Amino acid sequence: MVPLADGGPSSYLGRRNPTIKFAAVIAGALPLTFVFDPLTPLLLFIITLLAGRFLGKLTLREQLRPLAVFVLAGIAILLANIFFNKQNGTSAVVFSVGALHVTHAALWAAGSLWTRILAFALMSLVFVRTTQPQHLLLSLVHQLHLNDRVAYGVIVGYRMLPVFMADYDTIHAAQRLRGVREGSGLLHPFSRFRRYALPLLTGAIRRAGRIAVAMDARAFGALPRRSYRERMVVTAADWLFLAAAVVVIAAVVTGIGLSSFGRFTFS
Amino acid sequence: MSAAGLSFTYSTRLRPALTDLSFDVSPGETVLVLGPSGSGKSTLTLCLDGLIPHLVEGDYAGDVTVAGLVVKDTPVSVLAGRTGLVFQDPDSQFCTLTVDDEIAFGLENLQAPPGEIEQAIDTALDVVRLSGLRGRPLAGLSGGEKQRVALAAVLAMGPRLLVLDEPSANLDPAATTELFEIVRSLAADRRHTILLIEHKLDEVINWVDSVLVLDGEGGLLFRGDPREAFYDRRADLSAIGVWRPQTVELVAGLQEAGWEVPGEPLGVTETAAALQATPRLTGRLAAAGPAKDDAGPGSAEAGPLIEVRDLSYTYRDGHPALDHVSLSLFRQDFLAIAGANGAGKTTLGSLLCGILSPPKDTVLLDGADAAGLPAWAVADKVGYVFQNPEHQFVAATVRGELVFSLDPRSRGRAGHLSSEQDRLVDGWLERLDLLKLAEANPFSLSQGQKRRLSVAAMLIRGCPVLILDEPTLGQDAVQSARLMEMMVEFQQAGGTVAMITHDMRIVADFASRVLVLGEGRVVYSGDPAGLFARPDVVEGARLALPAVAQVGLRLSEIAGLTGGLPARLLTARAFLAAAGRAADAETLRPAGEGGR
Repeated sequence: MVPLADGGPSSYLGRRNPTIKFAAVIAGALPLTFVFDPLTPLLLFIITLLAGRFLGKLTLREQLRPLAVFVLAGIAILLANIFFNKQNGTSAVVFSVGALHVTHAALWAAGSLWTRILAFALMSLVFVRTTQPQHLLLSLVHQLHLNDRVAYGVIVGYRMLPVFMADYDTIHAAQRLRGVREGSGLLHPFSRFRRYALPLLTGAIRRAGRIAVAMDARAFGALPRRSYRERMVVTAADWLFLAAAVVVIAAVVTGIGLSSFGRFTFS
Repeated sequence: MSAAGLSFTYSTRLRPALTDLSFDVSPGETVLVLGPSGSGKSTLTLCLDGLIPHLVEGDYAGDVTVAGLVVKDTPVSVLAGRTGLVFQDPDSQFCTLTVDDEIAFGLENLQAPPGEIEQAIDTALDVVRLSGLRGRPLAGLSGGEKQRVALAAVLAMGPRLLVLDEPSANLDPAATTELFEIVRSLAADRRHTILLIEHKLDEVINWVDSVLVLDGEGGLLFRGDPREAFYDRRADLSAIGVWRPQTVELVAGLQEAGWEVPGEPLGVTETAAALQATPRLTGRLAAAGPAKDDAGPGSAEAGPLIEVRDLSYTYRDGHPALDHVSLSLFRQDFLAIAGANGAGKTTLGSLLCGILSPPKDTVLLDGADAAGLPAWAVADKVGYVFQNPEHQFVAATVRGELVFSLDPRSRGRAGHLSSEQDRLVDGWLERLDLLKLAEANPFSLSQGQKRRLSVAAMLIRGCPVLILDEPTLGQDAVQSARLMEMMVEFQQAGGTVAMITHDMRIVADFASRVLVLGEGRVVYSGDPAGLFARPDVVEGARLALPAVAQVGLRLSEIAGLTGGLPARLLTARAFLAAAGRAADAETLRPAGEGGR
């Protein structure tokens, strides 16, 4: 039912402050945007995998299974590079299949892009699976001073997501039963939008209105400030975790940057 | 609390929602609020919490006082601690993800210190008897548990006035009973003043102190004693479409037949005692003998219209829904499908009408395997009315809905129809009383009109079987009666009805057969009286005995009626038939008369 996190405070990563953990993810994602070799992302991927396994108590299966979709993406990226990489004309050919020349540059670019995607996806996954959504929002309110109205709006939206998906399925079934044919004409998307939008929106607006009334009735926003049952705090352990993450990431990036591998260019 | 000359008109509407309402409620009193749909019951709840006039715009006149505070002069933050509201749909009142956070939410808004909040959560969960749910996510709870958490969330704020707006509407009968037991104990300790809006009257009539009835225009029709409301003002109540308790209907039916039922009994115990004390009634019932085989009007000679053979169904996500279900539906059957939420009722309905595709050779429509039929062929035989009528509207006008049903290619435009079809559409519009609204958007209709239009859009196609999913949910007495009238007409014209319902009153009064599902299995299949005669099955399937059946059983017990007799006293129709007319009893003079 719940599409996202179940990660409780049972693991080391689960106990970390969500904002700090988020900062660690940013620290990991940053080098992915300006490093162009495949090895740095690969190493970060492995480190994240190990952290997820030993600090987040997530099994390898739990971590790798959702990434299966990116295997297809990897193949697509590889094919695109084999056919269209700008440097295919000048780069050394690694091997050929008939008239098709697979160049060093194509493999390099594809590998780098793919490992970067994988590393970033895994970091996000470990973050989401070790963070309870309400803790993330509380932490954003407490540490980053997010407006509490925005925070509760997001929580209500999150709660309603599966409800809307169920509504959509019901409307689809109901209209099919009435004899609505899902045609393929040019104007078809417009007519479908009209038929789905009205019932979906009426339902959504009515629900939103009811929730708003229920929240108002319990004095939401009636006082300028509210208290919190649980307060998200940043402990010394959190800072230590962030520092350690930054050191590890910096070590990987500089280590590979200084090695011949990082300086290797394919021109 | 009290209201004096309270009137309110929403700024977006012309007609007032409440007009010149004045009444008092004494501290600790429990008041049952009644009124037809659109009579302003929900508006009244918002007035008690200060959302009207502080947050909702409109014309406000008069005064409401809650716990000594004048609502219009008191900020919402103060009122929120005095008045607690619980609404119909638990999912549309939660704004957090866990039980603890939900209960804490109101106290946090009032800036309560964290230690105090934790204590309040414990106390509130204890009151609603859900201490075991501490720390659980809301998403995994049952409907009944959610509604009790909603009640706890309100109780935690320590209100003096508790307003419950149809809290049981979405619950199965067993969850309803559990919720009402809690409300009942809250009412009994007199620390809260309670306003209860509810139409499951038999469940609450024993313990409410008084009744407040709103008329169709949001004015006060009656305020006072429940006995007076349901007996002396009976005609007024039914004229505006307010439900009455089934036990009162039974007593009224007996009185009409000439029986002199003493007093004005309310609730099961009183009614059973009063019937026992009714001169000659128990003797007459004893003489009536065991039930004749009353299988209902379903006719078997033509072979079943729908046959379900050993149907098991598991959803793609591995969730098993049905387990070896078998069932035959004949012409003119009226089948009720009952069971707890999640027992597989809707899955069964979806498999019969082609929303889900059944496995091979499990569902036969007129002898043909439904698994091999194209969707339109299934739809020609079985119509399905969804719980929310809006979901199945496809056209921009009321007429268009009916036109679309006759010819989907028309896309709801009338030009495509033959003159014969046009007359058919006009005939239905007239029967629905919607001729004037024929060009209106279906979404703009009232709840009752939407429901009847969604049914008509299925019936106009002439399919022999109609399946309805909880069609009476949220309908008032008049709307519900008109819908059931449509169903009975359809059945008499040769149609077959299968109705998924929690409403035991409908099961008792209309169904010729009941199919009870429990965790995907058939736990009972047979006539309603047979079901009510087996309390173990009823309880196991999280259903509840209708009040009339309870009266029948109690009466059989205290009056020592034996044999097959109790089965004749389990539905109002059978009970009245068994009693016959009092004048006839006089001439019969049966021996061994019970009672006096």
